[in-house]
Amino acid sequence: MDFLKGKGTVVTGAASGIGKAIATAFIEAGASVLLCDLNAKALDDAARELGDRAIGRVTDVSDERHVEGAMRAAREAFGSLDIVVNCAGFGAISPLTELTGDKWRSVQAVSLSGVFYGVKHAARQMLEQGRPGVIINISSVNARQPGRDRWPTVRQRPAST
Amino acid sequence: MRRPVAAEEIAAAAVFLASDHARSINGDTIAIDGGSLTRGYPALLTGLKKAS
Repeated sequence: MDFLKGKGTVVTGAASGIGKAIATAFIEAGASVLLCDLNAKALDDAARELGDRAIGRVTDVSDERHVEGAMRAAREAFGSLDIVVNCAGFGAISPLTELTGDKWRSVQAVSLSGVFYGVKHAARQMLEQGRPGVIINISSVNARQPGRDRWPTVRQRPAST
Repeated sequence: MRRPVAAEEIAAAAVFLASDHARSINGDTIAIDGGSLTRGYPALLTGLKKAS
């Protein structure tokens, strides 16, 4: 399959789980992938495992400058930024009445603000290069089906392409 | 499905959405949950319990 042959892409949260699976599938489909993650060790391993068309970049998606830098770096490395997947995110499992403000904010900073920065700076690169692209945001089942003790993931990540 | 969805199954949908085959899909939300919303997510609850 070469559905994505020659495409320049960014996947956040790409060192493990769903993000890594998406990065792997993109590579198999012919794309080049800038993998973003906080975990430097896992990121190195993933990038090495995926081969020449994979680049790892340590990125904190809750920091807008990190995200802006990653989108620009991908466009420079691949010649264009065609596809961005905002996958980095996590939820806190806790009874609502025990959930601290700090924990709540840390989830929102990554899973909500991180997606906003990702969409904003992906779109900026795509507008600047004058070539449209695709943005995919990965959400959670908990956005559709609230679950006991999983409040912070509820209704925070609308998905789109 | 009586199991949580695998990461690779979500990735397969991401490849489709990112490809030209999905060029007329825009601004939409697609559930890739094995239909578990119809059953109250029993498999997810079991999976989370096992993981924790």
